[in-house]
Amino acid sequence: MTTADDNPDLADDPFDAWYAPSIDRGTLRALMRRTNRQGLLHVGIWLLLCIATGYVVALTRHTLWVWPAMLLYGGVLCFAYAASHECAHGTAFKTRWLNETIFWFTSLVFIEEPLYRRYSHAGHHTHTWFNELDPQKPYGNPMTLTHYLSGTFGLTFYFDAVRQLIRHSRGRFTPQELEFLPPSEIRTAIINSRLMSACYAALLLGGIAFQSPWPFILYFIPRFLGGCIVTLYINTQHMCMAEDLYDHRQTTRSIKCGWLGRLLYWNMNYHIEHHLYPAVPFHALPELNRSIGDQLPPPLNGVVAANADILKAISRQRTEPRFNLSRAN
Amino acid sequence: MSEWISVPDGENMLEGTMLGISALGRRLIIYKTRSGYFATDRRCTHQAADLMRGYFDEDIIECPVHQGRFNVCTGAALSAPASAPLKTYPVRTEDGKVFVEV
Repeated sequence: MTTADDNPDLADDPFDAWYAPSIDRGTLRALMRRTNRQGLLHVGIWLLLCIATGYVVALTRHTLWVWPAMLLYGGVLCFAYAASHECAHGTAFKTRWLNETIFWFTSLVFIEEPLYRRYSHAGHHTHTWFNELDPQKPYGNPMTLTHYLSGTFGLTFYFDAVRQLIRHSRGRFTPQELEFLPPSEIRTAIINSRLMSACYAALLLGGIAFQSPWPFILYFIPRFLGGCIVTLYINTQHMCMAEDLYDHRQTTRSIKCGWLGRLLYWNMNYHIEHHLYPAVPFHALPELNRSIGDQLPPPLNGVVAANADILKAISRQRTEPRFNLSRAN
Repeated sequence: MSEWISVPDGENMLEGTMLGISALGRRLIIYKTRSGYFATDRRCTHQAADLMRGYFDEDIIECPVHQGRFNVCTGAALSAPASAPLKTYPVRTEDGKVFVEV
């Protein structure tokens, strides 16, 4: 007996446990369509902003103004995170080699080995905000102010990223990492980590050998300083939300953003929408929001408001450790 | 023991579309590409997601959850996190009708 079953879902699809809003399947397929134009536009504008703010660093390098200039430039530079994330999904560009090239370049800027990142991020989408299972869940409830400050202002993330890269270059992976990185990929992850380490080492040693300030004022220090700006955005994704639930509406947060924030962050402010349908490319997320937004909690009013909300929740978690910012509260 | 199974409405498929079928206890997807009809298992080899919900473009099916990609003509896994190939099935057409060997 043969039957056509284009429409019915698989009875035992492991991902059916997750909440899914109602959306027409044809509409969803149309939203998944890929293009090069939007990705090129976003990368192009990001590079122009890097050049413009980097030029300000160069102009101010002999004055104290170089520090705020490096913060600004570093903030823009660290939005390489957003491009790298979209490329990890393979949804940034229609042309695959373009996707992989930009993935490598932006991962190199952001200090995350791309292959490992792709696997760990897949794990994050499988087990979003489940304790012990989500490989990209660095904190949980109850949060402390120390967690928040050390995680946000660069120190933890920067040094963790460097430590992990060195560890992977030496072929050392934790048991949790080996749960989602298949044995067939370990060699490539090690080679990638070594290549990346060699790039950073060449930049660092080149700067020292030639007594040049450029590697430091145009990469190492801004990458360190600017990390906090993109981390303020990353905080809004899941921090202080509910845990261990098959419902992205409660574990994940969408926020409103101005045009510049949406541009640099590649629309990841529509984060619930992204987790519900990760195959929908960044440029179609506003349209996806128009289709399903009425079934989701209303977005918070910007990155500052979301971080303020998080800080209030952290304060409340001192007396109510189970408190979270899920809209069910 | 394999058997050739007629694909309901297979002849009406448009290029660039896919059709889910059940046959002999298996769940398959029939694809119509520029170079003809192809068939694969319906579940992603990475974590068993339903590929019918995925993105199909040219000869490539992409998992809806983690974006692992497979060539539907050969079943080859093209990008992480997919690493194991997708099982493929022979397809033939006869008098306009489409048959898959299961």
